[in-house]
Amino acid sequence: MPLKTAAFYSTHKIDLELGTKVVSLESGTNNALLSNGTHIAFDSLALAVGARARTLTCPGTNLGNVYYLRSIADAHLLRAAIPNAENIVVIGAGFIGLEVASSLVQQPTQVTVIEAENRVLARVVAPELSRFFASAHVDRGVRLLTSRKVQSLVGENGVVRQVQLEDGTLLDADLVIVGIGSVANLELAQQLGLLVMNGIVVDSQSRTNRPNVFAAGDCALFRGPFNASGLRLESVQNAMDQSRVAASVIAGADKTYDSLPWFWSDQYDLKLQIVGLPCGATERVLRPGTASEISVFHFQNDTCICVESVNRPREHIAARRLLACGKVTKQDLEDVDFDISALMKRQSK
Amino acid sequence: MKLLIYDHDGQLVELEDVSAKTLMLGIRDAGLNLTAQCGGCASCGTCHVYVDNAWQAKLKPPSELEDAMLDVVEERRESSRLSCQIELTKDLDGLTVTLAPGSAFE
Ligand SMILES: Cc1cc2nc3c(=O)[nH]c(=O)nc-3n(C[C@H](O)[C@H](O)[C@H](O)COP(=O)(O)OP(=O)(O)OC[C@H]3O[C@@H](n4cnc5c(N)ncnc54)[C@H](O)[C@@H]3O)c2cc1C
Ligand code: FES
Repeated sequence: MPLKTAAFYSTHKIDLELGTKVVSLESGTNNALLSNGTHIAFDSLALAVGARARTLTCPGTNLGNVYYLRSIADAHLLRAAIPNAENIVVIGAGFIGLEVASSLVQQPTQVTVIEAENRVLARVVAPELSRFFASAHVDRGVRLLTSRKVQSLVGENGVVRQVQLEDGTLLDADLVIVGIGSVANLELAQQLGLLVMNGIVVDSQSRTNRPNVFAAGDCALFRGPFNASGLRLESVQNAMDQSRVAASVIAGADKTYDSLPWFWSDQYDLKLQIVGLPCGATERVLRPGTASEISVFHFQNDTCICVESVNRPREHIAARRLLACGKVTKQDLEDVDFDISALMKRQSK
Repeated sequence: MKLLIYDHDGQLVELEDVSAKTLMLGIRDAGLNLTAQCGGCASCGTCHVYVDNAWQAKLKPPSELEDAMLDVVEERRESSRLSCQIELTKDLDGLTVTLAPGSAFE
């Protein structure tokens, strides 16, 4: 799926080599070996190699009809397999697992989602939103099993038939979709001897510990003043903004990565929008709604640092503007007539 | 169908035989500079266009979501729309729009 045309690359003086892999980088040299046998010498190098789907490690993972979702090719394979399935088991209730489940609602299939944590989206949203999304899925016919782990996949003639859980439960499954997170592609960084954790460690200029090597996007772990332990964000916004910083710095500009993170997820008719990061929050305030809308505000001391909302686009937009200057306080929210859009308008006057 | 697009430099680009599902996809597939960061789910506001006067009445009015997203874009006008929310139906043959500031990928 080309996002840009060939003309775009030529006008911007970018040589695009499709179907070519960087097979190795040698530490201490500025040289890359490509899969077509040629070498490229570089002054600066940007690693934007992304991540791959984390694979299930239990017995039976090599059976047929076990799918992952990462590339467009994966999506096509999965789409072709779905109409033949009666019992679909989704392993993992993260964004990918739940979005897949929500897109299967039209199918005459039983969909079961299995999650090892005690709530859905545990890594990414507040418990109130986990409960909200769990009910949304259950109400629409999804069978949701939390705090349950997969023991093995059981097959017949090389094709998956059942999923066995650690507690002994056996679930019928003729199609299994695994969405249990991603692993950064670190091989090239390791060959260069770069500092890596669960991502390639970069500073706020997207620079690794080697001055002419940069990394951005899903493969990069950003260590900045507010997240000393490092954070590997996996989002389109992060990939675009962080690589823009890398490109500017390589081109000699003095730029640092300070964009406000934001993210979305569409499930059924529910649009989740998140702005900011809840790390370091000391308190959260729920603004309850109905079965189709809700929001949670995260505060660090008295300052709002993150807003998660469902089907409240105006609140999200207002929060995006307000968080950029850090101006929503707990007092504001305690106001019975609290209306974040009005607050935004008042403050921007 | 045909689309007439004024790009960020004011140049008119005529797109013939467009078969894309939405205006955003039509513009992007033609290689014009449009960020469309969220891929078309009305989450980012970076596919903002101004619709030519003659065409505004032919479009379905924006949903609440689109309307809220338009509040975040640079320089919202009466004619502002998110191009990813405009489905290209036969009656829109010849649709004329201008790419708005802030939708260019820089
Ligand atoms: C199913 C799914 C749904 C998602 N939904 C959302 C969403 O709704 N919103 C959101 O913000 N984000 C979403 N994401 C996350 C988002 O897609 C990623 O954060 C983003 O694509 C990261 O971009 P990237 O350029 O860092 O990595 P990638 O997009 O993974 O690109 C890395 C590229 O590097 C290439 N590569 C790797 N190694 C080499 C090598 N040695 N030589 C040459 N090329 C190499 C790979 O082939 C790949 O093309 C989703 C992801 C998935 C899988
Ligand atoms: S492409 Fe993101 S709002 Fe249209």
